[in-house]
Amino acid sequence: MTRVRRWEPCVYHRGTHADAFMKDYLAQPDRSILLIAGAGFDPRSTRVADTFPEKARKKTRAILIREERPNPDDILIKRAVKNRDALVAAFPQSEEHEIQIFASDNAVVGGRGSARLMRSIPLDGVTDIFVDISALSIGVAFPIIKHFHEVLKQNPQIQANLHVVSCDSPVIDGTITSAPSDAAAPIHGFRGGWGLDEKSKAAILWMPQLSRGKGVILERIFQMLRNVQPDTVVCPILPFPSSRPRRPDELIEEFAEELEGAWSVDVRDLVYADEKSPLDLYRTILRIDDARRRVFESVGGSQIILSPLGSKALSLGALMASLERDFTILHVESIGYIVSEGQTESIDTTEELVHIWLDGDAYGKTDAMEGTPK
Amino acid sequence: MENPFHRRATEQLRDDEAFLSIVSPQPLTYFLKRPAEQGTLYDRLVLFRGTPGSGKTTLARLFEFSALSAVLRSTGSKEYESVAGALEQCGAIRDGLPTVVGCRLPMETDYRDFWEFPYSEALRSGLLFTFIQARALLAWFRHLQAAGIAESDISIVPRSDSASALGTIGGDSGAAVVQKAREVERAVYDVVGALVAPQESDLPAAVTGTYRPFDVIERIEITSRTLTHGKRLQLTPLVILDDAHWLHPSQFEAVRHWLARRELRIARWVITRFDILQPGEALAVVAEDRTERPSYPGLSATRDVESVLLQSWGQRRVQRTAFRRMARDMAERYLQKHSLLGPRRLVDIGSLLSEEPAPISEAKLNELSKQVAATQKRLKITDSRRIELEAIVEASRKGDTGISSDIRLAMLAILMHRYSKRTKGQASLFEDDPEPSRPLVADPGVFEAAKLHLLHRYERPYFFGADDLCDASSENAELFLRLSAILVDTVATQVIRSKPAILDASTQHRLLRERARRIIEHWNFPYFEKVRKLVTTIATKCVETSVQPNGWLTPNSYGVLQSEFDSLATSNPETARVLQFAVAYNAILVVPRYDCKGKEWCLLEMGGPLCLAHGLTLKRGGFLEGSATEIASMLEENPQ
Repeated sequence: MTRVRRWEPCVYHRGTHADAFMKDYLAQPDRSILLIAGAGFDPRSTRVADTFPEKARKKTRAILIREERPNPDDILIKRAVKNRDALVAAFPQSEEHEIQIFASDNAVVGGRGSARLMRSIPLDGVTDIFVDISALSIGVAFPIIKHFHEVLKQNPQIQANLHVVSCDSPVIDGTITSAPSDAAAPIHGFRGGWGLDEKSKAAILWMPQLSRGKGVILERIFQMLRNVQPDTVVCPILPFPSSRPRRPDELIEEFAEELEGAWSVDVRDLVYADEKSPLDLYRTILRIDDARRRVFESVGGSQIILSPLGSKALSLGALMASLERDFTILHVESIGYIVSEGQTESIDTTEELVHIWLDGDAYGKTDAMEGTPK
Repeated sequence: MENPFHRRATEQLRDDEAFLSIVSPQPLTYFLKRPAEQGTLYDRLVLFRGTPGSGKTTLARLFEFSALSAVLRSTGSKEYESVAGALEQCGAIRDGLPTVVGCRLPMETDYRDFWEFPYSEALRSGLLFTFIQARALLAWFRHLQAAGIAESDISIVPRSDSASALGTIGGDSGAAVVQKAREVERAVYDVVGALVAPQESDLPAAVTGTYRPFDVIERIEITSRTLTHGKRLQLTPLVILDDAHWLHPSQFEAVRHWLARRELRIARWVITRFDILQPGEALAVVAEDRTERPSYPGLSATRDVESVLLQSWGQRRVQRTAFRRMARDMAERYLQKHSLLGPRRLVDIGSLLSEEPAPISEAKLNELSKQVAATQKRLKITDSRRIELEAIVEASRKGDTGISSDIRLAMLAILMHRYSKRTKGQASLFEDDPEPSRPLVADPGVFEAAKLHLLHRYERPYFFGADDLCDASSENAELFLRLSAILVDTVATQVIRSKPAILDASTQHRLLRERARRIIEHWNFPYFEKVRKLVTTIATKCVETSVQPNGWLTPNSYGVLQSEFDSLATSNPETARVLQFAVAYNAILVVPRYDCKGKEWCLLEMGGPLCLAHGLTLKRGGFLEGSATEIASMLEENPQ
């Protein structure tokens, strides 16, 4: 039994189409925009702002978020300040907010802090909420998106559209190395019943999105998963088709020890998702969930756990699947970043803008249909 | 060909049978037999501390009811015999029947979140306690049901003074208790999982109500055809809070005080990472937030809490011997599971690793000999004095198998330098062979220094043999398995190629150093770059000292005065934090209260992989005197 999917069809743009959409849409005079964006060291911080027409910028209320982590590098601070200044100059109605990602005892509190901040923002008169995740970590961005998604769902009187935009650049992603914290945990708001007694008999499937250099993070998540659920089965997600055709092979080589050893992955358990299409991943995950629900319904149910680690654009697919089916998202927050010298100063030429219209006018009033069997 | 050594953590083994077949009972007896005999293991709060990989979770998992019942199911099986014996010594099994029903609650997720709620500390702690209790109850029932005991065959035996409170936990029947626990768990979970915490006034009654099963339950009574042969059996509930260091320090304190109350009848264990710096930090945090701090009167740490330190504590020599025994036992169990070596009965790690030293080549020996002759000439040592020094070297190893020529020469060179130092200023026109100010001896220190000199000058194999493998593991089971894995792989390759199933010293030395470098390269934990910078600086200084011609010291540690170290968390929090992670991830071992030269020191001992990678001695005690300020300057980007 296949269930109706919330974002099937979905309004989605990429590359020049996304740029064109943003310019046309934002130029409409009746738009009252709320923009949530990161003002960090990432050069992509200002990329989405560039697509805003001059008139739209002036009337946009921009909430600029600075993710604060312990002992940042001086170079990163300088870059963050430069980006922040550019954003403040671009949006006269901007507000800057700091979000502490870690508490004094190194516990991850950024997600909770961002949700709290969003709750304090009034939506009166706002026609469009744009969440730009280009320079936000997913531990902060996902709770923000979920907050607005739920607010719009629970308050039909708020007539606003929710858009998510991201500047996808594998090259820039490759130049930023994160130092992971030592705790793997669900992203705030994305627990998905994980750890509950009623889920204790469920067949657990962990779907990590494989990405270069993320072995330690995945090992940490896996160890934590097995610590709690010894019966976890692993189905890794590989980017295919990919801008680099050999990427899946390289990832299999990099993770060979895990795939053959601790994870015990059968070759039939590898999941492929188009690197450039979050919707492909979204559909793939839901298809797998549909199949598993049927099979495991009578023996304790099925539970899918996601760990999106690759490109931000692809991680949106995991976000959408999780928003729709309440999947758990396990994540290891970064305690700091290291950037390759000179690499992240400028925008990469291969970068592409991704836009997904999550809620609002494009879908009519379909919320009541969510989860209804076809 | 599967090498079980690659499956490092026992958490990675899915079923209890697989887990039990490789787990060594040695730590169980070593750490828990004494408190079990003294009757403190299930009677009061037991606080376990250890570094990652020290076997905390493995220990806890053995007491989970599913593992216990798997052991009992296989009574008579030789494979589990020793584990069953150890569990009996720890009082978890008596007369072939379980005495406890244990459950392990990993504290990694959910629990810390309560601290972030905008409520009073009392309410935040209350929510945490409620959540722990509901989950413990559900876990006990889950384990019992997994062992084939029906919900209807389980009942609660309340404390004599709490029978009237049975209603608050749902009653005494299994089904009702589980139902109530599920309701409470779900209600609290919804609060924890909410994007924004609800107002205090909006909290549901299930969350704020009186739900205290730990205060009500005395025993859990079961009937089972398979386990108890239809008889009723009363079990002591045991809750194990695993990885409790994830809690906020104030939460941890609150939990500690809550579980330390003597009136509780359930057994309770709290397992945390061994982290000597954390108390300082915790105190600082608690001191900051004094306003809402509830007081916990009437508790004495010694009377109410039993502490078990799983690593680097007590007499270090005893610890090392105990670890060697445990590691060999563990290796034997893993080798039995090796698809190639197991069936060939190649299960003794000691017999796979040669202890025969590998001297340097003839050409290098000639070069060394020439160097010693040059040293003799340069230091103006007479031939007769040289003969005397050679005799001292010979005498030092009497009764032993003898010293190889290269070591003999290296020791001689060291003694020449010592002689020269001790005769400085004594030479005169009339005496060309003065007596040293103190007599020269070729003690084990000279022997050790000679081996290290040869390692650094000629790459003479230094790390080999099962004892070195164990010592390089820093008394950490997981590290031992990681280092052993590569050696076992190579032995297996030799067996496939019809070569002897034994690794010579050179191969062991090379493989261990390669693996150690790889481990350090792959460090990826908070502040790992700073930790790497710090330990590399210390290790380099240690090497520089170790290769001094007179071999006066072979250090592998850095010492700071204990008083300075104690105040590090407040005087230099950044350094303390880096050290905290260095300790937590086995880069450094802290040896507190080390007496030397009339002062009390705290030694920062380099972990096994660092000793291997940098070529430092595995012998303990040698340290460079330093200070907290110097540590801080080592961490600076451009130290002046």
